[in-house]
Amino acid sequence: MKYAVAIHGAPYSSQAAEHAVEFMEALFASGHTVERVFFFHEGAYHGLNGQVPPQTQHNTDLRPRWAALKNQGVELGICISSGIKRGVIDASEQQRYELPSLTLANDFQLVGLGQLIAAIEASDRYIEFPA
Amino acid sequence: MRDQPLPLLDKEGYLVDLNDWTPVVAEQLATADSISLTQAHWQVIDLLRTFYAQTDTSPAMRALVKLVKEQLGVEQGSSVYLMSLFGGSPAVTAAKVAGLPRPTNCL
Amino acid sequence: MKRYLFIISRAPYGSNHAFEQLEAAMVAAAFDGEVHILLRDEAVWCLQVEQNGAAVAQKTLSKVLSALPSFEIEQLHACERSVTSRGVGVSPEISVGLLNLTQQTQLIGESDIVIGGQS
Repeated sequence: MKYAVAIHGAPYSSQAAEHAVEFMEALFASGHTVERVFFFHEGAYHGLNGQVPPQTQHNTDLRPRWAALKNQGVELGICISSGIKRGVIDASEQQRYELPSLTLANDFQLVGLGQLIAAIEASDRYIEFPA
Repeated sequence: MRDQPLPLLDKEGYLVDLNDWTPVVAEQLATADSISLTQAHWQVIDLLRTFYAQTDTSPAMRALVKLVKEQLGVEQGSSVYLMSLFGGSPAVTAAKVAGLPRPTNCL
Repeated sequence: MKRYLFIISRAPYGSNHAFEQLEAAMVAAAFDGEVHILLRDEAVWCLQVEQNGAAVAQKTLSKVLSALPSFEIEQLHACERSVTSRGVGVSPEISVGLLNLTQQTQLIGESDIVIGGQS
């Protein structure tokens, strides 16, 4: 089956993303696919490129696992309206708002809210990981 | 009128402080987009400003067409009519000239 | 298109959550989805008459709710028990239907997609 996944919780304030990653890895292991992960509300913070996981908590570093999901064809879409007001900025938003730096991590992209609806419409199941 | 300095605008030409809006500013913003405001434009601008005062929201395209249809008439309530007034992206341009925030961009 | 239900259970101010859920609902409606919204728990304060979000530099949520029909969202529901137990005075500008728990269960059951159920 094809899944659309949404993550609403921020890194370290919530385990929403850990649960979502475990779930998606299990989906692929069982032959399912994921259309898109949509990071909404505080979930948008997962797209920041300057995260430094604490040395004592290496297992909280989701970055290599996001990269692996991306390589399996999962789009990692940050809600643009949730993201830019929280400082998650890609090159074109940096230019548009004349900001000092680009903060979006490599494997992610800023997408409109419409992409959440489009992913849901294109999938068999929608599952949400709240804050 | 042309001699008045424009209030502070962002890079896309929206007012930084929406309280700076006046009818004169609207004329200036329209001129910057090569639009010269007529009675027909002002009907839409007034409607947008009333809607925003009541709802705190800027209508995106479909909502704008619906509003105009309800309040100005069936003939005016079409994207073709609005494009004839405000160009290719009427919801965006009309919001800018009327001193409203950008409508939420969903695509 | 699928049938959507957006559940909002957080208070109107104190976080941006309620407003961001409404934005998502408006987008789903713009995609021609059939959209229902259910306010419950603290979110029923979004309905309160005479609120002023400008005082805390936010949009006034009761005003935003009154605009939903312009965004083709005609189905706004609220949990009756949440409204009455808090003594919320519903703004006359808002058209909302109050649902008991059985009706809410039914609404959830009839929806293809439920967004924001637990947050």
